[in-house]
Amino acid sequence: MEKRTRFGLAAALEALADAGLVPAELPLRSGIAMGSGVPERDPADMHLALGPNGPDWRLLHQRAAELNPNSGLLNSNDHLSMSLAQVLGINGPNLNFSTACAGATHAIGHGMRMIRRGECDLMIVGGADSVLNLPTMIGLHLLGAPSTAERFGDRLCRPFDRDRSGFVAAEGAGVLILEREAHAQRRGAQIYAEIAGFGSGMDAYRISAPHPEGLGARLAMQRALRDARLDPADVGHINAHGTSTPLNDPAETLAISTTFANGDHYRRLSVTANKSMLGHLIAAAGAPECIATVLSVADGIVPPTLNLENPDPSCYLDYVPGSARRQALRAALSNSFGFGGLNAVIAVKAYD
Amino acid sequence: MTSSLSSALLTGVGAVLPSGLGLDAAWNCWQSGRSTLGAFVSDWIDSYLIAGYGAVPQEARQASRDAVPYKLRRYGTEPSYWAVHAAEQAMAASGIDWAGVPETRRGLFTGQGDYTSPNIMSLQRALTAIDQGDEIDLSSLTAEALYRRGADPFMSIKGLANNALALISLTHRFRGPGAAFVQNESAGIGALQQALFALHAGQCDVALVVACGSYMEPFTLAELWRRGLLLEHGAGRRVASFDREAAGTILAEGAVALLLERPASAEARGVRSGAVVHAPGGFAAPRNCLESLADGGFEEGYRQALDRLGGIPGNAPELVVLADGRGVPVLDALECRQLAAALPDGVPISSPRPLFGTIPAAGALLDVALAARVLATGSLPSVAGLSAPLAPRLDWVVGEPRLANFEQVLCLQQGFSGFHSAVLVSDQA
Repeated sequence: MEKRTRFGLAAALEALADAGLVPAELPLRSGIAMGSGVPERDPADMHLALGPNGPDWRLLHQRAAELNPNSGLLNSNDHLSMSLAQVLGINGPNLNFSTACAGATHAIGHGMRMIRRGECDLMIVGGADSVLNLPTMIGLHLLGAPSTAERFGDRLCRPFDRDRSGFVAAEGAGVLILEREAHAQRRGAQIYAEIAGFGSGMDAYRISAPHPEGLGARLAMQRALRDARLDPADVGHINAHGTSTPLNDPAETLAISTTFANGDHYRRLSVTANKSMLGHLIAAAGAPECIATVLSVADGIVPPTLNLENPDPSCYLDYVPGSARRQALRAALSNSFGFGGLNAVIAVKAYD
Repeated sequence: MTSSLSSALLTGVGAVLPSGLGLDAAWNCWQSGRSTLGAFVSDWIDSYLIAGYGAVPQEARQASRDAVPYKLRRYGTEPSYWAVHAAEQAMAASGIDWAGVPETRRGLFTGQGDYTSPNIMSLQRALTAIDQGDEIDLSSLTAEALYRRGADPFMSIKGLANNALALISLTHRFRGPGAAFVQNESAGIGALQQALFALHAGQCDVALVVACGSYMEPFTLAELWRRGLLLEHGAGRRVASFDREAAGTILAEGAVALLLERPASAEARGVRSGAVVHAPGGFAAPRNCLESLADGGFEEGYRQALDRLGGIPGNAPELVVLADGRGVPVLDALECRQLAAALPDGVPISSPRPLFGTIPAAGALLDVALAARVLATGSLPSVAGLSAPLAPRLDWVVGEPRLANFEQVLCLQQGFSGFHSAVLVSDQA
């Protein structure tokens, strides 16, 4: 089993235990929605097929015994969602989203909607990813996306800071258990919050850069608010995508400002960037960030943005620098934006 | 058979397939029994072991490349180019005045096979440059790739499974809701499902569903060959779906696009007839086909997918089925058992798979598009070449096309990794 799937399975079992559920007792109408990233190929496998004039299929077959016949299956993007179905014995709906850095957020949002539409009583949603393999890291570095600055040491990830220079890659998984309200109440579950809305929107601007005014991000936030029947003034906190890249952070700031322009509400928002602590889990990033948003709403604590020491004039919101803040919240948003210009936002409401 | 879930009118179809550009080419092949599968030919993979492959013809490749704006081509893969062309066809075929559809009301939902990139070609120059025998020096490989331009600089963008979605959204200005899926052969069905729900919920006015993929990737080919799923060299070039002589499948490639609208919207602009696509069912088997060819996961996945559609009615003379039938003996036997258990007597069954092979992600959407043609023409072409059926009791369409006023077509798909799907297409009237 490859790394991403191991992370995801471990997170799913943790989530089920936290929800007080055991796999054998999951409701019949359970489903799975996961987000995942780029399939991985081992360079050593690639090398098996390399002849003097480039790739050579004959060579690969001569050395077929050295090739893992499960490699493609194990490294496929959908392996986690399939493995969860098999390990947990779930025959229900199974979706695997592959929307770059917005993958897990899409999975959470669509999982919520499947419950809302009455297709399922329970959804296991989230994502897992690891880009810590040679081909993917090479690819990301050739795009200039990750930070290569050395002077900040382990304070390298600096969302919204003047000296930010790129994202810091990370790996892991996050899984949430979503339940129909009546189902959760009937079994006496601890309810953290309500996943109340979801929105997505496409930039249609550039593949490797966000729209400079955050158009797709704004559309996704507006759609999530509408889906959750929230007024922008109800929102007190945004868990930002906040990648620490030169292009994302000001574009996201603009998108938040325009979405919450009415009454200058954006000035009253607490905006935080978990990537300053966790790094960028790429396709999985939206899952731990949504979990943090849920806990913020449930506990009334907004986590800080670390390493924000020299604010960038183009990033002018309240990013909760340095230390956590106590704040009663009725609702919050969790933002995730992906390469290719696909943006996704989850709206979370306090559960009374 | 009814589904309590949403449905939409299919008003435009596009295709880039081994049969060429457009659905007409594919439909003509199925009607005439002409195979789209050819010899396995690749500029960079030398094989004498693979019996055949369904390759997109060169002129269709060139037309697809030309359909992508010049500045975007460096970010895309060939399957994504096909997807852009297929999307353009579907948009044109719908007859919609696109200037009148706000960009923010255009939904886009895609599915991709995940075997397309990154592939060996992304790192070929670096791998060749550091070739020292059996072992790889990873430090040298990294240095070659990063500092001596020995790797494709856009390999991570090309490796994204939302690559096609990105190219289409930029080329055709889609700014509405979107999602991208990778889930084996049913990725297109995942996209179709979300598109129907987005339309139903009023999140967009039109929904474009596009799936694309290619199996022309050496490791996937090698793995599937090692598993004995592929028709081997010397065994002819016939995918003998549901036949006792079946010896394996042939892999293929392509893209299919479906343009969907709410029936009321389409009728308001004068569309009087067409096929209705109903919310599909997509389910996972508890075991995938590759890990355990013999267990019951396949049947369970099929049963769940059918249940989601409301089940098979006891008496459905107007119903026909497009079954999967990959030509892999074990898989076909399992599918026959499931069909026999689920279908009432006398439901005609056919499959385009003998002529088109197994197409990643897009194959299931091709079935939906062909189902619309079956309804429009009242003609159900045969399972090409079927002479000794595995399950003789089932009503296989052999020889001449079956002619009738069909009202519903049930499209069934399985995936190698365990995703199964069922889609119902009905006549609008």
